[in-house]
Amino acid sequence: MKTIQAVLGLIALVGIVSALVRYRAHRLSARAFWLWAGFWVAAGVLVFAPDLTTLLAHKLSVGRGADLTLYVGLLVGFYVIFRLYQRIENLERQITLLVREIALRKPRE
Amino acid sequence: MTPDGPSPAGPAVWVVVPAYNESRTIVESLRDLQRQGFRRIVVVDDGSTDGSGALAASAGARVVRHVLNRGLGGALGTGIRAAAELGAEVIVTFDADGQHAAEDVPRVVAPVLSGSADLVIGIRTLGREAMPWTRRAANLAANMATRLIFGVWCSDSQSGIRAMSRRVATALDLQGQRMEVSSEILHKAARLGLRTQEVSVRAIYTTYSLSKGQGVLTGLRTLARLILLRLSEKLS
Repeated sequence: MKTIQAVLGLIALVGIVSALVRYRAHRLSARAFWLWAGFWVAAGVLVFAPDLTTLLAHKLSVGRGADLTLYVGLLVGFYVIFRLYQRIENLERQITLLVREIALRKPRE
Repeated sequence: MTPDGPSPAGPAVWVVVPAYNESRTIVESLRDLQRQGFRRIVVVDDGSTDGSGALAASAGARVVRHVLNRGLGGALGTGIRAAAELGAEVIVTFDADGQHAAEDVPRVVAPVLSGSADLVIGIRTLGREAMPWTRRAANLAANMATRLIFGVWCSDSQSGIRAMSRRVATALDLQGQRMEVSSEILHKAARLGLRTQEVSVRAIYTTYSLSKGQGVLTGLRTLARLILLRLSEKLS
C-alpha cells in the first residue's frame, strides 16, 4: 500500500464515520446519509483500485481515469459550494427576521 | 381625496416605500404620494446612514428602521408586515428613488380595488425613450431570466411599483433578500394561481434614479441569486 493510498483511505474512513455519527445524532437525513456514505465508500474503493476509474472513464467516453476523477471532483466541489451558499442564505434570512422583529417592536417614528 | 387616501370608505390602502440612503429624493417622493391623497405610507429605512428615515418621518410617513441593511427583499417583507399590522387591506410598493410618478398609483391600485386582479405590476413603458439602451437591455435580460428560471413572463419584471391585497402580500411569503425579490413575487403569484395584471406607468429616469437601479454587476448578482433560489426550491 502506498502512502497516498493510506492517507486518502483514512480520509474516506473518517468521512464514513462522520456521516454515521451525524446521522445517529439526527443532524443528517437518511437520504443525505446514504449520499455521503456512498460517496466516501466509492472514494475509498477507487483509492485502492485506481484502475476502476480508467474502466469507468472508458464507459463514459472520458479519456483517462484521472480526468474522470477531476471532473467528478469538480462536480462535488460545486455541490459543496452550493450547500455552503444555502447555509449562508439561511443565516442571512435569520438575520433579516431578527432585524425585522427589532424594527417592528420599536415604537415607530 | 382625503388625508387617509383616495378612497376612505373603501379598503385601507397603504404604500410601502423601501429606502436605503435616499435622502436626496425621499421627501419629494412622499410629497408626491401625499399630493395624490396617499397619506398611509410606511417607509422602511433599510439601515440608511444619511438620515433618510428621519426625513421620511418629518414628511409624515410611518417609519420602521432596520438596524442593518438587509436589501430590497428584506425591506419589502418588513414593510408588508408593518402595513398589515397597521390595518392595510391593499398594499402598494413604491420606490423611493424618484423613478415612479405618484399619479400612476391610483391606476395601479384600481384593478385590486375592483377585484379584477390580485396583483398589479406597473410596467415602465411610458417615458421609455429616456431610458439608456444599457438599462433597456438589462431589463430585457431580467425579463428573459425570469421567464427561463421561473417560467413566468412579465414585461417589466424588475418594476418596483405594484399593488396587491393584504391577503396576497402575506401569502407571497417573500424569501428573497435583495433585488431577486421582484422576480420571486411573479413566480409565487403564478404558483399560487393569482390573477396578475400589467398597467403602464411612467418611468422618470434621472442620473440619480439610474445610479440606484440595477447596473450590469448588480444584475449579474441578481441572476446568480435567482438561479440559486430556484435550485434551492428544486432540491429542498
